Amino acid sequence: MDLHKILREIAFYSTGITVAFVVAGLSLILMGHDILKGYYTLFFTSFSSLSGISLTILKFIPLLLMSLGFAIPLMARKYNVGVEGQFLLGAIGAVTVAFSLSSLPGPILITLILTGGVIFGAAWALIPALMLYKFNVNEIISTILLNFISFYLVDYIATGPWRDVFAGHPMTLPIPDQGILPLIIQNPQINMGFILALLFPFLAYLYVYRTVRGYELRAVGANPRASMIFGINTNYIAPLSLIIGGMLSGLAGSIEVAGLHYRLIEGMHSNYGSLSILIALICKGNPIGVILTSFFISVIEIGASGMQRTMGVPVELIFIVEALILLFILMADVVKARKK
Amino acid sequence: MSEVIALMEQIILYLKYVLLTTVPYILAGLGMSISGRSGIFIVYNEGLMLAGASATFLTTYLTGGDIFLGLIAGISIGVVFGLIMAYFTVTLKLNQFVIGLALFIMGLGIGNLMYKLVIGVVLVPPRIPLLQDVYIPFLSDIPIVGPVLFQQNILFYLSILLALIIHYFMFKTAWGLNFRSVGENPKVADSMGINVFLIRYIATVLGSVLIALAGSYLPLAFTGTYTESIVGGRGWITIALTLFGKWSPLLIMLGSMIFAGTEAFVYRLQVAGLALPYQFLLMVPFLVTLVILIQVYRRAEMPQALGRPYDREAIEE
Repeated sequence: MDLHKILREIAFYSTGITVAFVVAGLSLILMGHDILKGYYTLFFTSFSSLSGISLTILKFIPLLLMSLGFAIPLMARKYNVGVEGQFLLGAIGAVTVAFSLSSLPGPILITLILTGGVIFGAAWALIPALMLYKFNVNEIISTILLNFISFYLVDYIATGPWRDVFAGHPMTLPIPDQGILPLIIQNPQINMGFILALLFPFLAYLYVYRTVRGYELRAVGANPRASMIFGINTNYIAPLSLIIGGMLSGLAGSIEVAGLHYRLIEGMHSNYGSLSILIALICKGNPIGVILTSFFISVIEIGASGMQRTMGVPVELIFIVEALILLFILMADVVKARKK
Repeated sequence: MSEVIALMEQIILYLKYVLLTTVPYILAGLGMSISGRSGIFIVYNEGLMLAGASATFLTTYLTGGDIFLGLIAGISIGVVFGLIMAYFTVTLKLNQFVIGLALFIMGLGIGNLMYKLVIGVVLVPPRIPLLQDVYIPFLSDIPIVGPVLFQQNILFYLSILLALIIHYFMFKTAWGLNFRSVGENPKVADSMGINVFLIRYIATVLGSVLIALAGSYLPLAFTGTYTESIVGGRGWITIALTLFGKWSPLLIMLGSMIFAGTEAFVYRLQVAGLALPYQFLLMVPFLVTLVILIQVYRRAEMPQALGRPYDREAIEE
């Protein structure tokens, strides 16, 4: 890719993003707020304090892993809307391991907690993967239905034997201390999950662009019929990509337990599912683009909570703007294609 | 004897309740059927239904209980969503699933944002009046059938009528044949002089209006209030029901009734105090839908050009 092409790409992307934020600004004016204060709060709350940085990173970790979990199946043109449920199953896996093996020493327990998350997430994705493989069931619907089932599973476990009876909201007791992810930086507080999460976009990049399996994945996404004719066993590629997506989302769930909440909490998936879908679609599944976009979305999510806290602007406004970013970028793509 | 009468009353109440809960599935399923038959696969039901519920609730609340204006507000949201969807997928020829997911997320945001802007965060949620039951003269007096079928709210009658009308239009008229050809083979339809783009625009907008109305129904018929979880997965379940009904109005209606019947039965079990934890009972509708999906896809029958943009200049595949 030459420089001219990259600049062109950046120009179209920034136009799309800018238009979305102009809409945000206009809505702020309509709602009677100070637009400059709004923009400032939106973009700089993350960087204005140490806790802001720490909160941004804590949001960035699950978003990065889950948007990768959506991005990899996207290569095979599959829409893994189930990242949310896979994340929750990962969290369930983490607490299950933590409570069952609570006497193990720290490093081993942490490794097993994270592995538990990966396995539970993969197992949850195995269901839509098998339905796709055996009966060609559309993965959007099957994974969404499994999300709803996972909400009830979390509720069941959070009110089960491990329940924290003194908490007002369904949640389990905290996991043992030695199962908690160690901090790598004290101020701002950043835990080991950050480094771990950052590894995966690069691994994903190597997998997708530098291995035969990754090549097959992209080939099936680009042209399933041609791939079949040229001898790629297309049947298992897409289901396998869903399982990889489940592993990544499950890992996100276990890091969320071991690095942030230290327990399973009903509703802990927040709006991660929708956001990670938007992130992956905005950067068209590019594993390296996912890093930048996840970080950007984390920053404005922290900014949006800041706006709600200090200015009384509902966070949903920014949620809509995030969807608009995707729509405007897609529009910019069409313009770009026509200008060629 | 009195026990028999009591049981009969229970059954009548149950059936009446089942039909009451069927309405949103039918309306949204019809919406999916109309747009799908023209080749547009809508996946934003869940989001649009929430936006529709919010718009209807707020308008009814602000006008002091004017349900008609509330419904108009719901319809308007549907028109806006339909136009956006059609513009992006028909005119710009972008991927229907991607745009659908973006609109799904937008619908969630819009529904909750409007409510927060108008009502804010309050301890006691405001209420609106519920839809009244309309008694059909003579018919509502028939024993058993009367109370079940002819003592329902106006949107129930509307949804049944619409299912019949749309079915007749699609399968019994020449217009319907033209309409379906757009979703089966747009190239042939185009060569026969049918305006593929216009029909897809109209179908997407009409479909979205019905989906939004399905959302409007929820606060008007069930709760009288608006909550973030008011749709609670019904939008996604509708997609499965539409596939189950092979995109045909009457089959979708039948499937919706069977599904709503199962759902209501499960809640009855819950009330009756079954030994199973309530979370597992609440999972049942979703599990049932998953099983339905497997059955459906074994014999997948869909409009041939579903999900694919039509490009006049494209070379034949």
